[in-house]
Amino acid sequence: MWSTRVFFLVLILVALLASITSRSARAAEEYNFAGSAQADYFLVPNGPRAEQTPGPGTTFQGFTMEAGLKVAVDISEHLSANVKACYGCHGLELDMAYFDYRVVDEFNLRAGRFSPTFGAFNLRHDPANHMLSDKPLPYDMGRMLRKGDWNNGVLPSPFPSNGVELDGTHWLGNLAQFDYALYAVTGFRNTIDPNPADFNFQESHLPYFVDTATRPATGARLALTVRGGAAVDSTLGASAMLGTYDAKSNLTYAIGGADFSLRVKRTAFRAEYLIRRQQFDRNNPDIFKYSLAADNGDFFVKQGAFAEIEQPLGSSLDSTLRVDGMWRRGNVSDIVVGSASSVPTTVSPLTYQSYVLRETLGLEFALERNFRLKGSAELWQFSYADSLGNKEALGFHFGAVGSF
Amino acid sequence: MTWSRFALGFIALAISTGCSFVDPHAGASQTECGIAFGGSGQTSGGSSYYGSTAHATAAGPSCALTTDNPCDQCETTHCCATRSACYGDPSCACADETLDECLDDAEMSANEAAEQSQCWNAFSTRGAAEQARVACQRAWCQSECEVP
Repeated sequence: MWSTRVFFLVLILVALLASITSRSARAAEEYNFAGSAQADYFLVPNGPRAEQTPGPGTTFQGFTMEAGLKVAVDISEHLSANVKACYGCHGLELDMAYFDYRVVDEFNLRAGRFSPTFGAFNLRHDPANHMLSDKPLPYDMGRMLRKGDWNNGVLPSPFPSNGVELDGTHWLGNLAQFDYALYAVTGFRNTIDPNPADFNFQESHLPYFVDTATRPATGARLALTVRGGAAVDSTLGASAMLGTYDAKSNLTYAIGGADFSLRVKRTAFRAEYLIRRQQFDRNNPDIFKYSLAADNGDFFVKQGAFAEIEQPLGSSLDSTLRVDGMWRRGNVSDIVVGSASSVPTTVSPLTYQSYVLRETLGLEFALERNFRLKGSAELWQFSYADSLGNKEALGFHFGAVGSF
Repeated sequence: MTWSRFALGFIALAISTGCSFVDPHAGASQTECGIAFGGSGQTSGGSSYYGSTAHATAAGPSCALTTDNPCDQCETTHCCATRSACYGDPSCACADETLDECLDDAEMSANEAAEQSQCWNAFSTRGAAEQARVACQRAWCQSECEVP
């Protein structure tokens, strides 16, 4: 019985190798350059910064810039490479630097630096690929109000990491498409704080690319796309990621997600839900806002969701309506993430349960196909007041984005 | 019937386990003991943000000798750093109040020595600031502060 299994396994591997070697490799390499840039002005009329009382919980008001340049190279019929450099709020960043070795559609090996496959939005994280100026709150990377209070979103996008991924697509006739991905990557970290209580996203940026963590983060995604003709398609997906983030690889985090999208002609509806369960270090109870509970007292849960509908209003004008929010539950550390301090220097305004809710209405006008103007208005609602006593805030984005 | 019961039990167990997995707990607020630590704003305040407190001012993060209590006098003389660190820390300052209340209750008890010992033990095992303060008191002011 065992020898039969081994025989069939060897047979499959030989057949796979034969199929690879029988395909002729291309002699010439093919290059593809692409790039995008977005300049955006964010106005918050009643924000704390406007009242000369900035703090860690305020946001990037004024102009911000996001730009990216990507080179894709088809080296052979099976091998390709992608390199993408981007410029954002924390300077130049290497978003992608990886090789894809595609044996068949169902089996692709990716190695290098890349954002592992999680959720649906990350594929559209480039500002040229989404209609609004900023990302949905679960994927926010620092554009949200009071970002310091929340330490950004549930899974700030993009989230480039070093590692390997197996992914593939299997077509079920013309009706459906099944996608999968499995990966092991560096993952998120906080090796600076003596009592880590959350991710330190700065450690995922330059110059922290060298990772000393011994255990990689692992994850997977499954998605099914059903096509109802040329004008209709729908995708349902689920994602998960598990890892540790402290220097001793003791503190765990688990991120789960579900996504759904529906396109009918040019109208698109998308919804995603993300949840992160994260342990924190309990060795210094003094840093926490609440006393530590004996049971289930070593972690917090951060959830986020968004739903949006994109509706064209003409050949050059598109509209977007989005509702998104986050909800955090659990003990709160008064240590500023990444401060390397063991003594609280602030008091977090978050409570055991805190939420933020945002409603956005945006318009996008195409001056040309590859150059568009963006404008949006946002209503923010928080469960707690800011330093000026406001629980609500208005925000306005005015942006321009180009791509080639 | 057996299989359906098993399935229902498994589903119930999975839901309860799953809910527990994402249901964090926390105790009472560590700043709810009546000491004002500078409000709950989001303003960064530096190391002195918690400031002096109504309770602590008299006994002194400044370590000034403003009391006739022999324990306070001894501690401000020999253990200024650990005393200030405790009163500057909201958790330790609140724990100190709890310790005082615990010691007062112990005085009324028939088993005073044992209960006082428990009070000190509960305080010193609460955190690093508490442990350091008791260690210094025990080293320099054991008789004045009646540290077991």
